[in-house]
Amino acid sequence: MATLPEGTSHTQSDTAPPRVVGFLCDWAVRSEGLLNPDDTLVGMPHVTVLRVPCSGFVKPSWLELALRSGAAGTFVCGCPMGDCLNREGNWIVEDRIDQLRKRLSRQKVDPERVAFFAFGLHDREPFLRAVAEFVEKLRASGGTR
Amino acid sequence: MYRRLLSTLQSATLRLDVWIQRVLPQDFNPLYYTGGLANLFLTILVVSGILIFLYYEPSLEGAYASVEFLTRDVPYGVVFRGIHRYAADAYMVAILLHLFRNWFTDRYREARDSQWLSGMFLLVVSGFTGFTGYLLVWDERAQLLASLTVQALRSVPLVGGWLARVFLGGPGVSDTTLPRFLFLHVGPAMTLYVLLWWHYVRLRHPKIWPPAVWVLFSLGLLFILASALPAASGRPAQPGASPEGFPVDWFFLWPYVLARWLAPGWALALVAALVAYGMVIPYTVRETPEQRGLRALGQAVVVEENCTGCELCYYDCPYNAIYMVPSPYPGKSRAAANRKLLAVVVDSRCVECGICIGACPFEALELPRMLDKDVQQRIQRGAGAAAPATS
Amino acid sequence: MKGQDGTSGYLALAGFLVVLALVCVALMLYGEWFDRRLVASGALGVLLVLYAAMVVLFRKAGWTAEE
Repeated sequence: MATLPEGTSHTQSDTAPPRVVGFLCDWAVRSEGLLNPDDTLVGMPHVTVLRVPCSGFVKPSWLELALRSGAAGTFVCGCPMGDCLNREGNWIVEDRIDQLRKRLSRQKVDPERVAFFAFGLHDREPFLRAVAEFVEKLRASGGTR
Repeated sequence: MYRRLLSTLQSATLRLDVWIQRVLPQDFNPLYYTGGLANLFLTILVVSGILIFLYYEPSLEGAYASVEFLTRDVPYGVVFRGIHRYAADAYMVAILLHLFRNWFTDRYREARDSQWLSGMFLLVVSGFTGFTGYLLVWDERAQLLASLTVQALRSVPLVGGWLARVFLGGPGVSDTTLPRFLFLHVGPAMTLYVLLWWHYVRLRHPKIWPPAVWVLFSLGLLFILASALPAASGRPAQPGASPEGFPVDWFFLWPYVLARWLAPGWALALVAALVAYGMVIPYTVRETPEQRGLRALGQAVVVEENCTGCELCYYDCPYNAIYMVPSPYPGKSRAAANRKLLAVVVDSRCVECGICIGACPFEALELPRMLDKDVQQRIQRGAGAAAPATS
Repeated sequence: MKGQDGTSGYLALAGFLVVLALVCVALMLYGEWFDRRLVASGALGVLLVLYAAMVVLFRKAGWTAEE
């Protein structure tokens, strides 16, 4: 089900950073200067972040698609719990991710490859730290399995 | 320039959250529950108000004495009176926090203007109810407030005299005055619940109650205040007296503080102007869809071939912008062919958040400017399924 | 989550608050018995605030309502 990513990781299978695809809601962390035009995080080209209007917009099937397409991990970052601009988006997506994790563990995929963060407008540093820690955790647990 | 000011205020408002979250967990932040806190204090006001109502006598001779009886002779009467008084202050603080937070964090635009307008009406009626509560005690302060109000009302063009007569229950202070004041206190308090229905009608699962931590803390604070600073009346009102200064609760009475420097009619005009401005706030900032960026991806569109009528989008939409209707024709996909219901998006309520898209397992909803297939392409590129990106 | 630094500190503080809460209960009984009713209601208020503080401390020590 999970295929090894083609390209870079064949020749440097132990040192290539694990690829991560994430979603960041428009209201959460201030995103000016955070992303390159190709959706990668400035300074972390192995992390792709798609900006969405609300964390509740994210479909669980997209998270599964990311894992199946070769990402080591995927995350959704919404607003602080209780402060979603649309009141409920982050609670809803947190529930959906919980259910997705149960489905994944039934399919013998590590549920820890899906993460959920909640950060606010001024929390850019904690957000970047959380993403970096997530990448490290994925690297330590062996990448795509 | 107005937009830059709003942006600065927004940033400052959210900076408060950073400080609060140093002490409290995220979901205990009281600023996320300002509406719920207001409702909590309103409930406390109604309960304590009913208890006070049992003892109150609305007459010129009996009002002051009945309040004194409650305060001095009824066990814990002074505490309930104090709770009623301090809950009113807390209620006003919560409403103002709610107003400013929702204003500075963009929660009043487009389809959310219904909440804003009903909120403005709630503010005005709440302020009026709080003010009339002072009159019921019929001490010197109440007498001064009543006389200033009559002056202000009389200065309204055309209808001023009539307004003053409605307020007093006659041409002057008489036996009908105190019952009239009681009606002007309890009546608007009851209309608050009608206005709250309007306030909630376009919302789903509104947060109408704060977390238990804040219920405990608020009740505790009210008991402490009521015990440490017991509510007390001033000297009884005397006909013909003209009382001077008194301690003022400026949450409700700031127009009366202004009456030191402005004629009462001008203070009333100022209040009216502020309220009028407040009503038009949702319509003062007009931005193009490009300027709104990700919050203007187009209103949700139902892909009718795929909709199975599962109602998940209907349950998840926070704005009641999706309705299920009996399906007029079958869908195209197998699951959709046997549907009984079809989802319909109400355009005037859709704020383009996309939560319904996230809920739908059947690819039956789309945001026109962020389509499912485009998102999938970007995911696959990021995951490395295509050639790795070089930045 | 449990066993993090500071957990025992939070729980110790919560324990101290429990002692204060019992003092409040005593004050409430005293106030009602001797007709010092403002003392009784003030103590009730302090008790409620202490409960609120305890809930926050337990949450910071890692106890949530889940699972």
